[in-house]
Amino acid sequence: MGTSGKGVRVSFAIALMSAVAMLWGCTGVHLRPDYYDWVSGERTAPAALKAAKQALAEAQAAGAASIDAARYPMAKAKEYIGIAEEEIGERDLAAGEVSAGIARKAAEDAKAIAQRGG
Amino acid sequence: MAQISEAGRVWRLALVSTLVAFIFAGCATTASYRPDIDSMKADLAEAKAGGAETFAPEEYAHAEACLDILTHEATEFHPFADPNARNYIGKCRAAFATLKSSVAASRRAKVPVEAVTPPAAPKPEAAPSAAATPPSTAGAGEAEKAKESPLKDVFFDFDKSVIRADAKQSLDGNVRWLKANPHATIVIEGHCDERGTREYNLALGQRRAKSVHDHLVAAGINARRIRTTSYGKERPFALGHDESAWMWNRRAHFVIP
Repeated sequence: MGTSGKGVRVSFAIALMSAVAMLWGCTGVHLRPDYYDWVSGERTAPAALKAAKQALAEAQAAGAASIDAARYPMAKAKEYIGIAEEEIGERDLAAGEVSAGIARKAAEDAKAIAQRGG
Repeated sequence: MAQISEAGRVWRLALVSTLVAFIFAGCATTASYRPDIDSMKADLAEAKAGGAETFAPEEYAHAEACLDILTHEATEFHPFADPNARNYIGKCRAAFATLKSSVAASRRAKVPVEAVTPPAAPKPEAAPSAAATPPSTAGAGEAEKAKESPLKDVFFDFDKSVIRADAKQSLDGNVRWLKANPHATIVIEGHCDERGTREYNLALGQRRAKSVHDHLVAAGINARRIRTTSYGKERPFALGHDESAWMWNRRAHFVIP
């Protein structure tokens, strides 16, 4: 009986550990980038998205939408703003902030092209 | 008792095996997207090499962003396959199919243009004056005027108003002609290619005209004999939407009123 009870307890402990390990794996927490500050991210990720949208608006105001050479960066900025919105909505703040950064850079490139000429 | 202990060992083995199976399932799920992701990466690189950023920019940007988010979602651990990655893979396949058809359509559209293009015109660097014939001109009148003008046009690099070293040779010839004709007055027109806004190019054209004006004055020509104006991108000399036309349109043109 004593051995049987011990066997059940050990089995239960292993089952519990397995369940915890599986849940931990499923959350993806262990894959979250260590460099990202997930606490500050609550504030910095939406701010990055706002900055990307502002950069896109500035590029449009500079006339980038009507310049052939700026079509690619403009399209890229719009695509990545969409991704950033989606990722931030799904609480993947790191991916959202990275996407917003890509969008902002693309919008700035488009604005720079609009402010050049041939 | 020994039998119960044996059953416990079997249980333990079964549970550990299940855990390992879950881990492998997660890895296998990620790995199952690998061929698609690799294939899309190759397609994207091929499209980029073919100039898709220029002639299908929206389609290229959409495919690029889709591949990026798919790669991100597919590499997140999930033992039963990430539902987001499953959603994205269908969208990305559609995005790449659109990109491929756009690239193919633009290649087909390009063939007749190349077929009617005259033999390659010499680059402004090689023949910087109006003596060289551009690929196709905006108006026969202007082309004839350019041929008749004793003063040679000066060509510029993209978004620049600095006179190139090769253009200085043309300007030396213009200076000689102006010194030989001391009563002649001239108008220097600054022109640009079609890239950039109208306002920016008007300013750039003015800078080009001013740059040539200053060079002539420095060479001893009276400033009162020279007027400058800018047409920006409004009066292209060569038609076309690529560098073979643009290089002829970034110029300072001399008019003798």
